[in-house]
Formats: sequence, structure tokens, C-alpha cells
Amino acid sequence: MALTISITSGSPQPIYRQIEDCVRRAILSGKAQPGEPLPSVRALAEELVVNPNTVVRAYSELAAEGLVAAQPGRGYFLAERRQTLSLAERRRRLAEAAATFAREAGFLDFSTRELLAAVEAALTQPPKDSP
Amino acid sequence: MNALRQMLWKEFRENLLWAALIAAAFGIALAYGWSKLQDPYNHYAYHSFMWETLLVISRFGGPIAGLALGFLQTIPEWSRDRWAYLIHRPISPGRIFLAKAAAGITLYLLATGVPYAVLCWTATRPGALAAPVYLELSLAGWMNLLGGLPFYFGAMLTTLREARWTGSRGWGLLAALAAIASSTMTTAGMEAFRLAGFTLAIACAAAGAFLAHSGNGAPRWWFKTGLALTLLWGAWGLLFLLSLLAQMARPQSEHAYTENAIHLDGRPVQVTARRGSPSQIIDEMGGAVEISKEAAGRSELWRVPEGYFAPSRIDVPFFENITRNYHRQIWNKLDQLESVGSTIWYFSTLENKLLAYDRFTRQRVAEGGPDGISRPPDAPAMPFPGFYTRNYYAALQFRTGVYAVDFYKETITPILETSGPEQSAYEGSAVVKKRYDAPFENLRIFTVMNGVLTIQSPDAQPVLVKDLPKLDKKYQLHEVAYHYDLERAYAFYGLNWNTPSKDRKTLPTYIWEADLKTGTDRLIRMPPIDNSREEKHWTDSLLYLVLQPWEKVWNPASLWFKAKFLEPAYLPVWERRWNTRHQQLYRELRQAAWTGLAAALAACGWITFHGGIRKPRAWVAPALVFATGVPGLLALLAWKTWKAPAVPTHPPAPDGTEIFTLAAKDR
Amino acid sequence: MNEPAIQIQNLTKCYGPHCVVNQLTLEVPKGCILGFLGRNGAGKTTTIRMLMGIVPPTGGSARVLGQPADAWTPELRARVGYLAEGHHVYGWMTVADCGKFQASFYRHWNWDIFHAIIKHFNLRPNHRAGSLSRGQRAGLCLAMALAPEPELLVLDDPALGLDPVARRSLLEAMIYVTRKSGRTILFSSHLLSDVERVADRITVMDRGILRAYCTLDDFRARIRHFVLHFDGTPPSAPDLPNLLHSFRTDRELAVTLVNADGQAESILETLRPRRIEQVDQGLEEAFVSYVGERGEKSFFLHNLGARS
Repeated sequence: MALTISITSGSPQPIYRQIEDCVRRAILSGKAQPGEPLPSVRALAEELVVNPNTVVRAYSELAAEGLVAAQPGRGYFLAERRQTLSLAERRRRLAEAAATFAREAGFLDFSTRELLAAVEAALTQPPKDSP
Repeated sequence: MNALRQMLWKEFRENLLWAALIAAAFGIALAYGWSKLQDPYNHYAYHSFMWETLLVISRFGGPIAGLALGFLQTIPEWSRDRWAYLIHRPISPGRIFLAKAAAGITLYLLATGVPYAVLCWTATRPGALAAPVYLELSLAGWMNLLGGLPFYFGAMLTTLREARWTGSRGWGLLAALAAIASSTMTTAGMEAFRLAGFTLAIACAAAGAFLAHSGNGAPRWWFKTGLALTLLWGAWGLLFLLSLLAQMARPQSEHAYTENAIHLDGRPVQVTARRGSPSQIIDEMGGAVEISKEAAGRSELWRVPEGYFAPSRIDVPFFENITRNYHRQIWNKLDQLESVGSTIWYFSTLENKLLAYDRFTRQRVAEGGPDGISRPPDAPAMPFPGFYTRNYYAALQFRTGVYAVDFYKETITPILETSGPEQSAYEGSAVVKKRYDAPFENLRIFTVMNGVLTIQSPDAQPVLVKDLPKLDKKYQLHEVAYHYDLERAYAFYGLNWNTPSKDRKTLPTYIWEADLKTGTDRLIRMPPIDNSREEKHWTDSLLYLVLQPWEKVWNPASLWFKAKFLEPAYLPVWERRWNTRHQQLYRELRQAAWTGLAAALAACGWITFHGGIRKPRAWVAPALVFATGVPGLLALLAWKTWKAPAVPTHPPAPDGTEIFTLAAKDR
Repeated sequence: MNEPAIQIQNLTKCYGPHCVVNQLTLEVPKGCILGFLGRNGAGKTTTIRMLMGIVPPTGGSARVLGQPADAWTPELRARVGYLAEGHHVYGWMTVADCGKFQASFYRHWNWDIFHAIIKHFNLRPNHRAGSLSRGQRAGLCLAMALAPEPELLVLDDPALGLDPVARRSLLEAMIYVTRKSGRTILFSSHLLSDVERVADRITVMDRGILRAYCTLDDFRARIRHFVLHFDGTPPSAPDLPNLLHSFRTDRELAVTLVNADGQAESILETLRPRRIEQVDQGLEEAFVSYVGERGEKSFFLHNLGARS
């Protein structure tokens, strides 16, 4: 399975969100295909050495977003890409992502045009899995 | 059951090495002591097990071993996390304590008992000692070893008890000290019983302290009782220690003693001596007599009758007190008589025979009975008849008669036959420079029977037969003496022991003098003697007030004696006080009641101060304090450390930084 | 049975006038993993010891698995595993002896678990317990605590002195315990990264008083860190009751607030900063702010050293 999930403790980001981000990145990079099974809660918890409830929370939030689907008795699977978020929610998240980008790249002394070109390039070519 | 067995195994295995070390140390000490006893020139060889050094070894070795084992079994487990490892298992903590105690007691008995048993075995082999060895005498040592058990539990209690200040942790040890310090002249059986009682109470207190730290619920009744007794005895032990310190700190008593005596030139005199040296000598008229500058001790100048004077407990130095209790038992079994060359002669009351041992080869070389002394001892002599009462300068005295023994010629001559208990024979007290200066032929044997004095020579020839004067029944005959050079016999009369003090100051004492050459006798009137007024140091009075009253009342031996049950061995000691014992008891009870009342009032005041006077059973403590006196008061003060201190009743005020987000039910 | 695993009611322990644990009230349901946090000397170990019946409380009461904590019975002791701080064993026993000794007390003892943990920590049966390293001893104690498969596991600073590999093994064992439902774990720790991994909920004790009892996320959400940017010298932080600490530099004022609501934010606005920025903090940062010293720490560059 191409889905590798890893977490770091002690970071400002909660663990469940780190798990979610790993899954999201995997979906985004195309490494994971819809219909692929996610590791079971217990297995992932024991592999990452985290509380199973944390994994449950991550999976639940992903399911609420529509990225994964729970099949009773068989576990979690990656869902078909469907947009379940509302427009307002999507806009909000986009603004958040843009703010992050602006914060990180704003001090590099590039012009706005160069910045936009970099964004385009990133969108067309999905990045390698970054830590 | 398997759990208990595992616990026992663990405790045993853990402390086995320590027990072995203790056994080795104890064994070495005993072996060293015994080797000293085997020294040919040791005068105390016949003491065998009762020899003071051996008794001190067991008296102190037992408690030290008990302390060591008690601390070794609790201190390593005491840091909180080790304690958790011990306690947190599916076995009741009572059983854990039981396993510890059982293993500890077993190891203690093995570590101290095995070396002592080996000593007993080697001692009874022929050739071990230049004296007969009787196994009964080893009982004293066994009882000393038992005395280590209160210390074992006392050490456990010291470690386990949650006490606010370090000083109060030691109550268990003080109680154990009380157990052995208050040991009195009792039989071995009584002593074992008594020590078992102390041990049980202190063990209950230790067990309770153990359980208190094991989440085991409210303290039980047996724990409270054990703790109360431990604190009480601990208080007694503390006061005892203080009395020891006071005794060591205060100057030597300037106690003066006055008695009638005979000067070497034949004059009857009255001597007042301090610490053995004469300070004043007066003659019958009351005129002063010069004290010779050559006098090194009173026995150089005159001979005084030896009366028995039983000092109070406080006057007796600590070390002597330890072993003193058992000394009487030696005299009842064995008496050293005479040393002739390398042979030492003994009289054994157990075998009722004379026995001779060679001090170098340590073998028995001769035996003697009424029909003579036989060598070798393969043909044993017949035992002497009757009940052995006295011996002085080779005249053996029995209820049935007197025998003169010449150790040099090895002959025995029957001198006198007495036919019943109302006839009593006295030894002769020689008025000579040194005790054994007179040759055997000049020996004189005195008998007083039915008011008639008979003096005989060793070959049973009567030298003098005279009626003794009849005095008022306030007087009794203390002693008889004989001046060899002047050939005069003397009898000393004094007042009975229960004569009140005011009579002592006014009534005279008497000396009866008989001249054997002229056959005349006269009664000499001497000035009154009053020794009852002893100068007491103020610490004595204070300690007597604080410590003695209840101690005398509650002391089991004291009660035993006053209730008329006595060991025959102690008859000579207490006989003279027989008539006054009821008044004594009454006086002691009165004193005890007064101190008890004062202590109970103090206890009430203290309880009120701490606000407990309205509690339903507040009367229990003062009643117990009344019954136990000052030690009880101290115990009450020590008990208080067990009560929980005041808990702050106000919960801490919230300051706005609390985070409680879980649902109310979950809180 | 739906009783909570642990119930504590006004538990207090005072040594003389000084109270180490002050009116603690807490309830822990079955099946959760509770992280017991606090600075050294905050009263965590004492609380645990009072729960286990080793230290008699001065006041209050506690119940463990429904039974009173001042009357532990052997049956209750069999249901609770306790790993005390020192990882103490009897040094003269071998590892195998320890196992046999401990097993003799329990009716239910899972030798598979014992052997698995022993092997995992690289212990051999004939190793003498006294010659083991700290981490190995921890493994042995853990094996002995987990083999009876207790319903409640109490761990007092279990990772103290352990190397990272041993710590990780310890966490794995704790996760393993949760395989069976209804098993509760209470553990105290200073390693917040470990706490973050395994705990469901945490409590924070400060000087004997319970200050927080919440989930990790709630804790982090309630403690918010703001950085206020100023053009000139920043003013001192406002005197708010829920201000944890503040830090002033040349141009910035950083404040950490707890239970911050809209009102607090508007008060911050009144200081007229150029910009207010909320910064996410990790669990350790939040914890240090929460139990650390209150008040202001300042750091003015131009006060330091020689004039440059």
C-alpha cells in the first residue's frame, strides 16, 4: 500500500490532524487510489504508537469531509473524490492555505507574478511527499 | 497458602546471610568468653554459664541481634516505592507481616540459639571446666536471648511508625528496654512468660503500624491495645534511662553505716564507716577510740558481722543489675570452698557432695561424703544428708548437722547433729587479721540451739557450752564471733528489722562476751545504732516519686512476693522483711494513688486543652493514667501523635485559570 | 457495571501545616487513558500512593474500581497493576525467580505476556535482577504488572530514566493494554510528547490543587498564545485574571491566556497594537505556560551588556 502515515509528537499540530494531513497529501499526490483500504484503527494506533481514539478521530473527520468512507465490519476505505464541503467552507480553507503560503513565501523578495507562477507549477505537478 | 509460603521463603532467603553473620559474631564472642573461663586462675570458673561476662554477652547480644534483624527486615523496604512493591500484591498485609515476623523470629532463634546450644553442649563434656557444670544454670542465658525478641519488634515499630519527630520514633525501643530492665528475681518460666507478654504487645503495635501503611482500614483493637502498652512501657523505659543518667551524674553517696565490732585488742567498739573507711570509732561508754593510721580497711582492725542489706533498685549499678538477678541461683547449686594446690574443692547442692577438680587438667579428681573423701572418683562417695545451709572456713552446715572438713589432710569429721528446724547452727566469724590465718586445729564451730551456745573444735570436742542471755523480743541475735588470741567468744545483738525509727534512736544494742580461759561472761551495753536514716539525694526522691510507686505495685515479682508465693531460693533475701510486707504494700499503694491522682489531673488538663473533654469516652484516658502514674501520662502525650492534624476545611479558591471541560458527571 | 474506575472526593494529605494534596476531587471512567501531569512536588505521587493505600490520607476519600481505597483487599490488589517510580525488584532474585515469585500470588497469570515483554526488553531468565540496567528493570516490572492482565493500570512516572527505545516499548505496552475494552490506565509523566501520544484526557496538578481536567485538545484549545506587534515600545500586559505570562521585547508583547473569550481579545485590542497574531502552541509549550511562573518576563535588548 502506498499510503504511509507518520506523525511527530510535540509539534503545534495535533496528532489527529497530522494523520489527516498525511491522508490528504496521499490523495492529493495521487499515491492512493479511491477504494483503497486504510489501515485498521488498531493497527495504525499500534504502528504509530498513539491512542486508538486519536486514529478514530482522524478517520471520523476525514469521513465527515468525505475523503474516506466507513464500511461497517470492514473498516475504512478511501472514498471517491466528492466535494462535500460547502462553498463557504471551501473558501475559508482556501483563504487559510493562501495565508499560509503568503506567510512562508512573502519574505523571499519575489514579485507577485513570480509567486503566482510558482503556485501554478505546484498545482500542475503534485509535489513529492514532503515530511 | 502458597502465597504465604512464597513470602516466607523470600523473607528467609533475603536475611539468611545476615543471620549467619550474627551467629558467627555471637559464636565468636561466646567462644572467647568460654576460653577466658577455662583459664586456670579464673576464680569464677564454677559460675560456668552464670559467669558475668557470658551473661553480659547474651544480655546485650540478644537485643543487638534482635535490633539488627528487625531493622534489616524493615529499613530496606521502607522507601516508598519498595514498600509499594512489597504491599501491592494479592495477599493481605497481615499475612505479609506474619511472614516477616515468622521468618525473623526463626532466624533470630537460630542465629542466637545455635551458638549458645553449641556452648551448652561443649560445656557439659567432661574436661570442659575445672568445676561441675549444671545445665540448669544455662537457663539464665536462654532467658537473656529471649530478651532480644522485644527489641526485634521494637526495631520494626521504630521503622514503621509514622511519627512527627525523630525522638518519638524510639518508643518501641524504649519499651523493649523496659522489658529487660524491669526483669526481676523470678524463675525462668516466669521470665519467659513475662517476655512473651512484652513481645506480644510490641508485636501487635508493629503489626498495626505495618497495616496503617497498607490501606487496610481503621486501626483494630489489638493494635490500639498493643500500642498503648508499648507507649506505657516506653515511658517507663525512658524514666529508667533518666534515672540511670541521674545516678551516674550525682556524686557518690555519702552513706554512712554504723555497726558493732570487736577491736583486735579485744575491746567492744562501735564503728561508723563511709565507703568502707572508718570515720568514727567509739567504745561502750561513747568515748572516742583512735583510728589507727595503718588501717587499710576495716577487716584489718576488726571483724564485723555481715548482715544482709538489700539496696533499692536505683542504688544498684546498671551492669550489676543485669546479672544480679541470676547470681542467687549459683549459690544454690554450687559453692566454691577451698583451693589446695592445683585442686579446687566445691560443694554441690544438687549432688549434695564435695567435689574436687584439678584446675589444669579440668578433670574431677575426688569426691567427698559424710563417710570421707575418696580418690579416684570411680568409687563415688555417699551424698551428705539434709539441706545445705551454710559454709564457712571448711565447716559444712546442714539442717541435720555440722561437718568439719580438712582439705589438706582430706578428712571429714561430723561435729554436731541437729534434730529439727528449730535448732539452727551458726558459722563462726573469726576476729583475726586475715580470714584464713588460723590453722585448722584452731577452728571453732559455733552452734546456737534453744538459746544455748556451743563452741566446738574440729574434732568435735566441746570447748564452751553456755546459755545465751535472754533479751527482750525486740532484739535478735545477728552474729557470733571468736577472738583466737584472747580466746573470747562474742555474740552481737541488734534490734529487729521492723523496729520503728524512734525506737532505734533510743534503745541500746548489746554485745555478749564470754572468756573461755576464765569461763565468765558479761553483757556489754552499746550505744543505739540507727542506720535507717539514709541521706537521700534529691534525684532519688524525685525518681522514687515518679518511677517507683507504680513500678513496685505493678511489678509482677513484687506482687508475687506480697501474695505469699515465693521461691525458696529467695527466702534468705526477703525473710527479714516478712513481717512488714503488708505495711509495705499499703504504704506503696498510698504513694502510688497520690502520684496517680496528680498524673490523672494533668491528663485531664491536657485533654481539655486539646478540646477532647466532651467526647463520649473521654474518661478512659484519665482513668488509665491514674492507674499507671507518670509513665501513663507520658504515654498519653506520645499517643497524640497518632491523631490526624487539623485538615484545612476550606477548599482552595478558584482563580480563573481552571480548565474543567469534561461533563459534570465525569468530574 | 458502570461505576467509574477511580473516584476521588476531597482527598487531602497534609504533613503538619503543609498540604501536599489539597481537596482533590476527580472521577475517571473506565476505559480511558489518563495522563497525570504536574510539576515535581505538585502532589502526583502522593495522590497515587493514597489511591493505592500506601499512604493514609489526612482527609477525604477515594474509591478504586468501586472499592474504598483505605480498605484494599487482596482481590482488589489482583485487579490493579501498579508500577511504582523506582522500578524496584529484589536484587538477589533472577528474572525467572521474580516471575515465579510474583505469579504465585495471582490466580490469573498470563505467562505469554510475561515472556513476550521479557524478550522484548532483551532479558534472559537467569539474569540476576540486581545487575539489570534501569531500562531492563523497568521491563521486568512492566512484565510483572501486565501479566495478571489487570483492569486498571497505575503507572507512576514509568519512563523516568529510560532510554528512548525503552520508552517507546513502554508506550507500545500501554497501547497493547487497550486492546481489551474497559481497561483503564492512569499514568503520570513529565514527557509531554509521550502523554500527547497515548492519553485520552489529562489532569494538571499544581501545588496540591487540581487545576485542569480535560481532553488534550481542550487543553490546547483553552490556552492561547497571542503576539501583539507594536510600532514603539510595547506596554505592559493588562492585569487580567487569566493571564498566564507575558513577554516583552523591543517591539512585541507576547501574552498567553487561558480560557480566553471575546472579552479578553477586546481588552487586548485596547492596547492598540499594530497587529495581533495568534500562534499555535504545542502541548509542551502550553503546559509550561500553564504551570510555570506567572507574570511578566521581559527582555530588553538595549539593557544587555556593553554598548554596541
